[in-house]
Amino acid sequence: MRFLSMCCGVKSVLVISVFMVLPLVGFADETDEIYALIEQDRLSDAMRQTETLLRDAPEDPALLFARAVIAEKNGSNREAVEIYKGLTLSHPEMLEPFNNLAIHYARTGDYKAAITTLEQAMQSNPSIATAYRNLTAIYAQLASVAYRKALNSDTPLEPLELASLEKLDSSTSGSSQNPPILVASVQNYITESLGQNSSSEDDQPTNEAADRTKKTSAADSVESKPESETKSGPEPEPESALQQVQAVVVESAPTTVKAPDPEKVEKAAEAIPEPAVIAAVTPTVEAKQVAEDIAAQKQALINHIKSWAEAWSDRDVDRYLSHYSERFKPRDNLTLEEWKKQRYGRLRWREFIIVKPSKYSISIEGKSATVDFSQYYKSERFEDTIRKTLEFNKEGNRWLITKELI
Amino acid sequence: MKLSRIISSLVIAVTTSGHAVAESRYEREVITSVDNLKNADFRYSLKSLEDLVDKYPNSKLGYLVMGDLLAARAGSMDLVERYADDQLQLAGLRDELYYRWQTQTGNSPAARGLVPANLIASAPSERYILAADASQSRLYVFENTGTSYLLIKDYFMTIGKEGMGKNKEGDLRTPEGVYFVTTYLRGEELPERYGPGAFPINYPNEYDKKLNRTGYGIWIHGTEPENYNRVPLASDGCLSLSNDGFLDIQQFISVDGSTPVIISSGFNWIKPDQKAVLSQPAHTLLEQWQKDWESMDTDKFLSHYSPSQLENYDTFAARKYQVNKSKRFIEVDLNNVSIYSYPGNANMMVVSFDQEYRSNNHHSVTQKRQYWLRKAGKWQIIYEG
Repeated sequence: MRFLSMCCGVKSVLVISVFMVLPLVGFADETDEIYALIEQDRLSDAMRQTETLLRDAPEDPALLFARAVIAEKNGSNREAVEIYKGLTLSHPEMLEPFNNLAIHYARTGDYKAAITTLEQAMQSNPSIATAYRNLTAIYAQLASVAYRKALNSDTPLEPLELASLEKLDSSTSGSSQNPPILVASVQNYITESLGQNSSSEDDQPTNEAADRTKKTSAADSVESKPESETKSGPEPEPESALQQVQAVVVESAPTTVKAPDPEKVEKAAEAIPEPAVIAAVTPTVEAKQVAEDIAAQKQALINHIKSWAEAWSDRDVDRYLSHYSERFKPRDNLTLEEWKKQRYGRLRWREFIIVKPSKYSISIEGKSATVDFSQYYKSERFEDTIRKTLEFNKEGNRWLITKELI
Repeated sequence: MKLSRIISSLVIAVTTSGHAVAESRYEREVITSVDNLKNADFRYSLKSLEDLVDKYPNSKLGYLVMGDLLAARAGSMDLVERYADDQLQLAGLRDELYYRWQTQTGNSPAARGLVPANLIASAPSERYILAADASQSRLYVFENTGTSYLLIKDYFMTIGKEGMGKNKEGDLRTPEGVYFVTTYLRGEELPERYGPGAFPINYPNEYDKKLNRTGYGIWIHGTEPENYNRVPLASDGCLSLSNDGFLDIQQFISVDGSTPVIISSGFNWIKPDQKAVLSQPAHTLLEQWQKDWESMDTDKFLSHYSPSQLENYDTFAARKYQVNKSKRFIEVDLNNVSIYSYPGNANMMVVSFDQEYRSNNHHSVTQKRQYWLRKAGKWQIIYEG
């Protein structure tokens, strides 16, 4: 399916190429026969055969899938859709039902549902999802390079960070050293994947690094590149934007899921269904990484609150205020400036302050988070323990407080 | 339409020099690569854009379309905004693509065989006429065949940052009117941004001066090396072409005043066979002026001149009365007549000719230019020189 929207009076074009995907899962002998019948257009025979086999194995996904395919060929779209839907729930690891379901949605003009379904298909296979996200990130990077040239832009490129997969999708375990991966340069990518000649002997990324990238980079699993090409192509201009992209070190350490571009992250978060749901069905490496990432974010939030409490206890107002976002909304309709002044007074007047947070309850949603915790407070005049809620917004790499509730 | 376009391109390719091919080929390649986005798959589209920017590394348009394609593939169509430090450049490139697309798909009036109504008559010495249509960002070259006008070539063109309607110095606008190329400036003597050379035109012309328009240095020139061409609104008032375009258009330009450059915000395009009908009144007018001069009836002759608009009308009239007293006969022949109606002012014409004047006591050959203005239905000369 291609979906391109064009500028300047060129109409958007939507072409749907329908590829019915047949399942690759087992039960070869029995289903082979069914598909042979389908191919010969002997649909009722195929159906009869399928029904017979289903009697023994009513939940067999391959048979159910075959039945849906036959139903579709018979024009029973509704039945096919129901089976596909069921299979996406019972066997989310199978790409084919998602794909064919998406085709159905697209045919009926519901492109949104089609897109969501295809995205779910990829999400159902975290490796593919990661590879797809990496591919997308590279395309976005290439687009950025082109835009910078087109528009003489001084806006720096975002560093290209790609998620690597350290383990095979199966339960096969192996030790992972998480070596930093040198992205072999976008120029390489362009020249190789587009089949252009690279000719000059440049001292761009080393062969070793490039090789390593080939073996480990997720993008590589999608893009086939000629194996012999390890040198980077010639640089047309010495200060080319492409060069800036080169030699970007991609961290492959635990937080592999993080995407570099905040905008992209937001979009990905919107577009891709909650990864945790998938993880529940198929606990995989990817899910673990998501979990690890979330754990890291939670720790960052706790550290932030601890540091906030320390600054408060030290009556270091500047440091205390540095934990708040510029978008922080004070209570009592105070402006941020008025509130800051008030805090200077309140903190500085005390002989001593002790603030101790504990018992955190954290929820993170994309770039915002809410932390509910127990706050012990003591000063020369007052002592209590309350339940406090802080709302956070992630700005750059830091979580900052946007709202404070008691 | 497409086929005729291809054929005409082939004709152009075989009849003109190498640069011609470069400019039109560039445009064709840009538009083809855009067309591919509709018709071909992602890989092929990207490849053709890669080839394009490889061949024309200063094609901002190529990079923009490539960026759009990749951004679409990446699912972030608004990515462009991050790099649009200069919104005008972005909008300009989109406009450029639109204009080039219009031309390449045969949608321009010239491609449909129409000619600007402003071209009424051209002297044989004016072999080529340059017609700049700002509404299409296009500079056309018409060949004067004596009986009609034939489209020879056309180029994407950039005008002033502030558009058309130059009025005063530094307003970054391009003048609208009838001008002539005055000279040639070699690129080596110019700053890089003018490209391989420049052809200044006679802005401010006599009419502009009459209206107290200021400014100077309106040229037809090339482009700085960083860009294949500039976006539609990007000069200080000049007409800027791609360097390929400039090197090609040179062959049609003479610096002896015989290359008219008619610049319009948007021409009225008409069929060539309508032209004779529309231009007849202008010819009649000029003939009447000639006859009335030969008749030695000074009042009748002077009725062609505007007492309020013509500078020093009283002195001029007094002198005519004086001179005509001594005449027994006057013969006036007009050669090399050219008549252009004024863009942006349908009530004005610029008439140029070589005038051979013979009388019982005088004989002279003079090049003359007149500006005729119609007021209350009556055409009168407001400038003569």
